Amino acid sequence: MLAIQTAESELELTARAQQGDRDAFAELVRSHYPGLVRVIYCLCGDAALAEDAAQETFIKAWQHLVSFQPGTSLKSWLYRIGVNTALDALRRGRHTPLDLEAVRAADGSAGPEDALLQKERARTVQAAILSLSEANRAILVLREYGGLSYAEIAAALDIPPGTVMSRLNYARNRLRERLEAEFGGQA
Amino acid sequence: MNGHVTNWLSAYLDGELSESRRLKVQAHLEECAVCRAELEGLRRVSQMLQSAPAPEFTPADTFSARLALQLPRNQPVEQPVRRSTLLWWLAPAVLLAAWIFIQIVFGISGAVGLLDAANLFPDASLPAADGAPHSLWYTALVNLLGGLVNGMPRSALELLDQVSVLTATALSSLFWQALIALLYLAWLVVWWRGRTPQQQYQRELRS
Repeated sequence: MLAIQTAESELELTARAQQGDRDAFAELVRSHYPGLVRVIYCLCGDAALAEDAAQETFIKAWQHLVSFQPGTSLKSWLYRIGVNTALDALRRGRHTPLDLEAVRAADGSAGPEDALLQKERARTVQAAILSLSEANRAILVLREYGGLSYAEIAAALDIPPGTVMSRLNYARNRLRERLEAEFGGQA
Repeated sequence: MNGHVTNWLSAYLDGELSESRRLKVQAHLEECAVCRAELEGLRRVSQMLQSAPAPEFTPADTFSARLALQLPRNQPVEQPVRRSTLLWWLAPAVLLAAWIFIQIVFGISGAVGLLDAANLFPDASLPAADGAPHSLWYTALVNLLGGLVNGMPRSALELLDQVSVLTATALSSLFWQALIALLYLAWLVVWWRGRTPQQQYQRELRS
């Protein structure tokens, strides 16, 4: 029920934003930004670049919102722009490899040693993600961090759903091998 | 199910399999320890990805407020997409109309030519005084040789002349139809590759 209300509300907000309503667009930005920036970060491993790419993504979305077809997934559309913007930035070499300085401790009360361990763990996971090819990485992060369905990922990346399924399976198995090698049987 | 189901485990984990496939995988998992271990491994990887700490990003409200200052004041309202869409869908209709036109014109011409050759038209009904058209070589031959032609087997020459005329007409018709077919094929290929205006924009974003 809540999902239906959210979808209706997003439809309404999108329609208003397409008419030039900046407040409606801001609402959409607030709703999609957290997931989008996390996906972009996992794609590129650079927090500053992720925020810049997210900003570029929303500016592009605003400029081309009139061409968005109502009834299709806004999330897929936004993530598609986001992934391509991030990959473009990566190809231009505009990133600091594996920037983990900004990584927060999952538990704020953790001591320095635990915080260091968590940071190291995050570094290992992020390095494993970055070791995947761009195509496989995009699918993995859209699923794991964006929460997109296979159909939404297929629409976002313009590939068949069957390809999403096989590449995701492959990517997870590669990650598993790599993380098991790092953490032993814990992964 | 005899073989392992490792190819389906990721989709099974995500709840993305069709019901029938899901039931098959589930039945296999109940009796296969190898696949169960694989599934558990994938689940642990997924949990590890989810639990890995993320950087402290700018809060959504702050980001949104900052973004508002960067947004162009006016959203572009012109929709070149719509205009090109109209032209885009008109193209095959125009090609189809051209094809029908050519079919009618050449069909009627051919029919008239045949009827005339068979002398089924009264003389006065045809606009040309000389009846059916002649090929260039026949006209040139008649002009050059004049009376000499009269001594030759005229019916054979006229037959060759008519064959030439009909071939030229058919080739001309074929040429225009092939041209239209090529244009239509090109349109189909572009359409098939998804080059509708919005998709074009999406491709632009990807490039």
